[in-house]
Amino acid sequence: MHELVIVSGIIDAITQVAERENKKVSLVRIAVGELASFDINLIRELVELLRKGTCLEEAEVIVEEEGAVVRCKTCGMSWGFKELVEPLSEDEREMIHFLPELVSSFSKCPSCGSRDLEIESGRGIRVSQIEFR
Amino acid sequence: MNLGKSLDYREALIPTRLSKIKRILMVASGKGGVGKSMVSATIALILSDMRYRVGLLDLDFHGPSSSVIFGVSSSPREEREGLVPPESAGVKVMSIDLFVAGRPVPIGGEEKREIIKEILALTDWGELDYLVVDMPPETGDVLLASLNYLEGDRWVILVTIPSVLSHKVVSRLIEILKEVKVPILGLIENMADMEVEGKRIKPFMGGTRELAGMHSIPFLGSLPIDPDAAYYADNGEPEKLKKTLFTESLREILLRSGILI
Repeated sequence: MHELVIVSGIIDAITQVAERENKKVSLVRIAVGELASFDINLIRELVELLRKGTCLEEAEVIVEEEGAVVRCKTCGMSWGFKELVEPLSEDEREMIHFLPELVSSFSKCPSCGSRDLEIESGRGIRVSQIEFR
Repeated sequence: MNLGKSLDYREALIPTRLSKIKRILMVASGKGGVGKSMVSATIALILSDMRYRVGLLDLDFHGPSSSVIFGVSSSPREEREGLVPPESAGVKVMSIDLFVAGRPVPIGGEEKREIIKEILALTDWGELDYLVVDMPPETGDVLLASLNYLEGDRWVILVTIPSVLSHKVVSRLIEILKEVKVPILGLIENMADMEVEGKRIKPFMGGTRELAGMHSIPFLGSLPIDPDAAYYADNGEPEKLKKTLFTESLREILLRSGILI
């Protein structure tokens, strides 16, 4: 539900960059990290709704999923959403949805059992690319 | 223009959130075990009792205690405008413990910085008179990141116990705060004395007033070791905590400090 405020924040952040560059935005790429379990279609709908009347109105906006990769700093193995988050309860997944870094509070490395985990990709939402014209 | 991680929407949201807060009181000690969380929580409680609108943000990730002191355990509520903190004794409480419910939080500096940004960006405090922040018990990067994001009308209240070890750490913290030009309201001496068989004794060596003088910062006052306050804090009874010697002593310090809006 807090996706609304996140998408508003993204549009504000891009607007600030466009104003600073004094250019029109032609393309924006938004990566939606798998770890935070956002509904990507809802993100797309909100972007469509909120970009009206902003610097993004005429830009091409690509919203794409970024797969989660979490590396165990003890044994070096890497894991994805399926191994670390899918087995958790709905309540636990919701906490990771709010704060993806908490994956190490709820999950351990399936190989060695360590909680010394590092998120390499797919943590939350980020703007990965902006093009101006 | 490939931005990598450089365009962070949270950095656009944080100033908007903080613009609704009149004054930020950051309670810091540089180290754990000196009662920083107890002082933070009690300041929030006193301000709420004075009818101010108050939030308490616990940034002590490895030893979060604000939620225990206020007896809250429900997770923040997800709303359209963000995450709404649970409330107790008139104080809105946000703490990592509300997400992990007592589980370990084995995270490093980078992860803590991410969580601080996320919490500051997403917490919907509404309009507040005061946000009291229980600062990370350290003098490293996480403290600096917190200072960096917590902008506005902000003041640091320092807490130490009257021991050489605590004085050494808080001295380092004072140097850092002066370097980054964050205003210091003053230094509070916690665990100054306690009652034993009808007499007040001082279990530590003292010297905190002199330490404040050495650093040219105000000495705000001393707080006692108060078993009643500790009991009510441990049991999440903020209404009873309000009526203790500890709270009364801290109330007098706050009234004298000139920090009240």
